[in-house]
Amino acid sequence: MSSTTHARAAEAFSADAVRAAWHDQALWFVRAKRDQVTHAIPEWEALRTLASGIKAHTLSRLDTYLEEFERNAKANGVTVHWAANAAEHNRIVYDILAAHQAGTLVKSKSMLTEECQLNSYLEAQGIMIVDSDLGERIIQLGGETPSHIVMPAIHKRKAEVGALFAEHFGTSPDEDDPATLADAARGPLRAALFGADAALTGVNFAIAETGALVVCTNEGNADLGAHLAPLHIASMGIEKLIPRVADLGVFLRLLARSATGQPITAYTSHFVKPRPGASLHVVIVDNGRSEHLGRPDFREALACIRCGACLNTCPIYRRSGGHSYDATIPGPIGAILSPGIDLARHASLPFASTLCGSCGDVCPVKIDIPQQLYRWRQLVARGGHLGAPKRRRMRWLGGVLGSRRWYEFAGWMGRALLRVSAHAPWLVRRTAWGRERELPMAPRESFRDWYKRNRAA
Amino acid sequence: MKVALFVPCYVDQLYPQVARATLAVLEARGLTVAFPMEQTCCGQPMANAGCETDARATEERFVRTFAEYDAIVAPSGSCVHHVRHHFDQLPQTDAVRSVRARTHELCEFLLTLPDVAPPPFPFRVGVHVGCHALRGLRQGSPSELGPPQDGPMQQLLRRMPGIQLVPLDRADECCGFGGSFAVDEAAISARMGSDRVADHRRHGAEVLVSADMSCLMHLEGIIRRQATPLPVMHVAQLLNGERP
Amino acid sequence: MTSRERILQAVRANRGEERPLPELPAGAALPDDAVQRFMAMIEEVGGEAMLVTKAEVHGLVASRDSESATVVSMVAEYPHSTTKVSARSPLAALEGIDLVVLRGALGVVENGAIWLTEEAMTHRALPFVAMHLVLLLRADQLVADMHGAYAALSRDASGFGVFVSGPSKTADIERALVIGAQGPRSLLVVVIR
Repeated sequence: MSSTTHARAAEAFSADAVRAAWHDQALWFVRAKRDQVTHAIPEWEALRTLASGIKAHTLSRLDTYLEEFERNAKANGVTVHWAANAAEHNRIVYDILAAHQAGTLVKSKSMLTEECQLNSYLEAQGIMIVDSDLGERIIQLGGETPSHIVMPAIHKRKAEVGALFAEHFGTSPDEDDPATLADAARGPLRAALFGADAALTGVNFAIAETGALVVCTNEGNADLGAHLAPLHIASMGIEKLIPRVADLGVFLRLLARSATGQPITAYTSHFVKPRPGASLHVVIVDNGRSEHLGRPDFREALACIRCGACLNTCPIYRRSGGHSYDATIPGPIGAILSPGIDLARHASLPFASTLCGSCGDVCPVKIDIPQQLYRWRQLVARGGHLGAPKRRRMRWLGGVLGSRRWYEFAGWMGRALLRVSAHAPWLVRRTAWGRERELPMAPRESFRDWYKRNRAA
Repeated sequence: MKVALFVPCYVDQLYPQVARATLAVLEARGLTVAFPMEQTCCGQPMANAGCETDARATEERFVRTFAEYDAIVAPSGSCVHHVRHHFDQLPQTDAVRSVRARTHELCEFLLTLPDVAPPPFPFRVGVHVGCHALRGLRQGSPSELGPPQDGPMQQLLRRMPGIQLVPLDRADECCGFGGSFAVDEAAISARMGSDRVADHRRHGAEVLVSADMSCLMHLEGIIRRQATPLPVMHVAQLLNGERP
Repeated sequence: MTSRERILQAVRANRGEERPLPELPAGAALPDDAVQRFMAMIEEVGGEAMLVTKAEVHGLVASRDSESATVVSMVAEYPHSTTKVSARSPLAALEGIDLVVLRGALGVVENGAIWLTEEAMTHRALPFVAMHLVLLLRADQLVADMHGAYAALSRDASGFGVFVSGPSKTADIERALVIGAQGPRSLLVVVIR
C-alpha cells in the first residue's frame, strides 16, 4: 500500500479551489481567535506545562485512578460498566437501553461513539437516535461523518445546510441565513430532547477524587438530554480521567480557549449523582487505549483533551478537509492516534504533514505531535507500508548520499537532466513537481566544483 | 576556532551562489573557513521519509567529516535541525555529541561574531521564516505562541540600511515544501506555496528572502510558473551585498 | 476474566514509570475592578449584566416578566412563579417555560461564569429549558479565575452543578455565531451590591 490515501483525497478536495480556500480561511479564523485569547493570558505556557504534567502523571498511574473513580462513582449511585472494545461498548449501551425499555435516544457530541459506530449499531437494533448537537444533527441528516472534532459540519456551506433543512425542517429552499436555520432546528431538536427515553453524552473529564463526570457544551443540549430523560448514559475513554476536582481549574482554562477562542463554554456541567428518580450509567471504554499506553514513544497522545486546536492550525488539514484523513479523528492528532489502531490503513497520515511544528505549539497539553509524526514515519517504513517504489528510491538515495563519489556523480547527472528537461516543458508538467511548479534551473558547476577550481590548495 | 562550512546537498548542486555568498560572509568577518570535501548531505531527505536506516551512512559521514571542527556552519535551518534533533539513531559517541552541539545555522552563528556594517538593501522584502528554523530551532517566536518575535535572520535584515520588511497576513505559515511532501502531496504543497506567494505579492514585496533555500526552491518554482516575476534570495546573498 | 479486570491488567502492564503530580497554582487575587470586569465578560459572551441594589432586584426582574409569561422563580426576591416545579416534576411541567430566575453561588471574573448548584435549581433542567434565564449573584461572591473557583467550591457536595457563561449558542453553520441554540436565548445576570 503506498502512502497516497490522504494525498488522493486531499487532491480531490483541493481541486475545488474556491471551496478549499473558503475552508482554509474559516479554520484560520478560528486559529486567529485562539491566538487572541491565549496571548492575553501571561501564564498560558505555565498552564500548558501543568496540564501536560497532570496528564502524564495520571496516565502513569491510570489503573489506580480508574479504580478510585469507579469506587466514588458507585458510592454516588452511578452504575459503572467496562467495555474492552467498541463492540462491547455498543452492546452494553444497547443492554442498558433495553433494560429501561428505551426506544428513543438523544445523543450529545461524543467522538468515542463515532469511533464505536454506535449510531448504526443501535439503529440496526431498532433504536431511534437523534444527535442533539446542531453540527452533529446536520451531519446525521446528511448521512455523513464529522470532519472536525469540535465543529463537525465546518465543511458544509450554509446553502448546503439550507437545502438539508428545507428537506427535513420545511424551511424555504433558498434560506441560508445561519440564525434562521439554527432557529428552524431548535424546535425539532427540543422536541426530540423532551421526548427521548434516554440520553447519551460523552465525557470531557472524569474526576477520580469524586467519581464526577464533566461535560462541556455551548448549546446546552447535553444537559437538556440528561436532565429530561429518566436514563443518562455517559460514554468515556479510559484516558479521560484526571485526579482531582481542582485539576479542572487548569483544564477548563485551556480547553475552550484552545478550541474556539472562548474563555469557557456556555455550560460546564458536573454530574456527581443521578438526578432524583433517574438513572446514571457510565461506560468506561478501552478499545485500544491501554495498548497505546504501552507505546513509550506515542503514549503521550492519550493526553489529548479533544480541543481541535491542532486541526485549526494545520495548513494541510485546512486545505484538505477532515474527510481526507479517512479516520474517526482527523488532523494532526488523528495522524498520530490512527496508525496505532491500524498501521496499514492509516500509513499515509503521518506523511500528510510538512512537519512544520505548529500543531505541537498550540496543543494545550503539549503533546509533541511533530516528533510523533516523525517516529510514526519510521514505523510505517519499517512495517513495509511505504510502497515498494518509494522504499527503493530511499534506499538508492541513502546509498548515493552516503558516498562522496556517488553523490558527486549523481549531482552532475541530476544537473544534466535538469538542463535537458528545460527543452521538454510538456514532460516536466506531467511530473508531480512540475504540474504547478517550474523545476530549479541547473548551474553548470556545483559549489564544490567552484571551490576545487578556485580555492583548493 | 576551527570553522567548517556545511553546504546542504541541494545548495551545493543547484544554488552554488548561496554557498559562495555564505563563505564570503563568514570570511568577511575574519574567519578562516574550511570546506571539507568529504561532506555530502545531513541525511534528512531519507530520515523524514521514514527511512532513517537509509540515512545512517550519510549521517555517519557527516560526523566523520566534521568531528574535528569547533563550529560547523550551514545556510539551512532544516539541516541544522536534523543534525541537532534527529541524529539520535547513531550511538552517541563523543564525536556525535560534539558535532550535534556545534552545528549552527548561519544567522544564529553570525550573531555570535563581532558586528560588521551591513550593506544597504533599499527594497521591500518579504521575509519567509522557515519552519525548522522557527519552531525547530526556536529562532524567534511563532505567531501561535505570542506576538511574532524576530529571530536571528530578521535581526540581521533589519540592520540593513534602506530595507523594508513588509507585513504579511500570515507571518509564519508553512510554505508547503516539506521534502517528499512536495511530490507525494503535490496538490496541497503547491496550494500552500501559492498562498504564501500571494501573501507576499499582496503586501508589495519586491524580493522574497529566507534563510532556507529549500523553501525558496519551492516558492521560486511556483513564482516562475506565474506571469509576474518575483526574485527570491537567500539572506546570505543580501549580507554579501548582492542585489535582486 | 471480566473486561474490567482485562482493562486494568493491561493498563497496569503498560503504564510506564510514575511521573510526578504537579502542584496546582493558587488562584489570582481579585482585581480592584472585579465587578466591572465580570460584567464586561458576561457581555462579551453574549449575556447581559446589571449592577443593582437589593431593593432594585424585584423591579429589574419584573421588567423581564410579562402578563402571559410562564415563570419559575426559585429566589425570594421574586416570588412570582406561575407554575410550580420540584425536583421530581414530570416533563409536562417543564415545557413552555419562558422565564427562570435562580440564585448563583459564585461568579468567575476571567470568563463571566456563574456556578449554579442543584439545590438552587431544584430541577436540573430549569437553567436549560428556560427561554430566558435570570441569575442573581452578590457582588461579593466573585473569584478571579477557575483556580479560585474550585478552591471556593471545595466543600460543594451537590449531586449536580454547572458553570453557566452567557446564553446558549452555536457556531456550527459556517461559524456564524447564533445566540440561543437549544437552551436559553438570553441570560441576564443581576449583580447585587
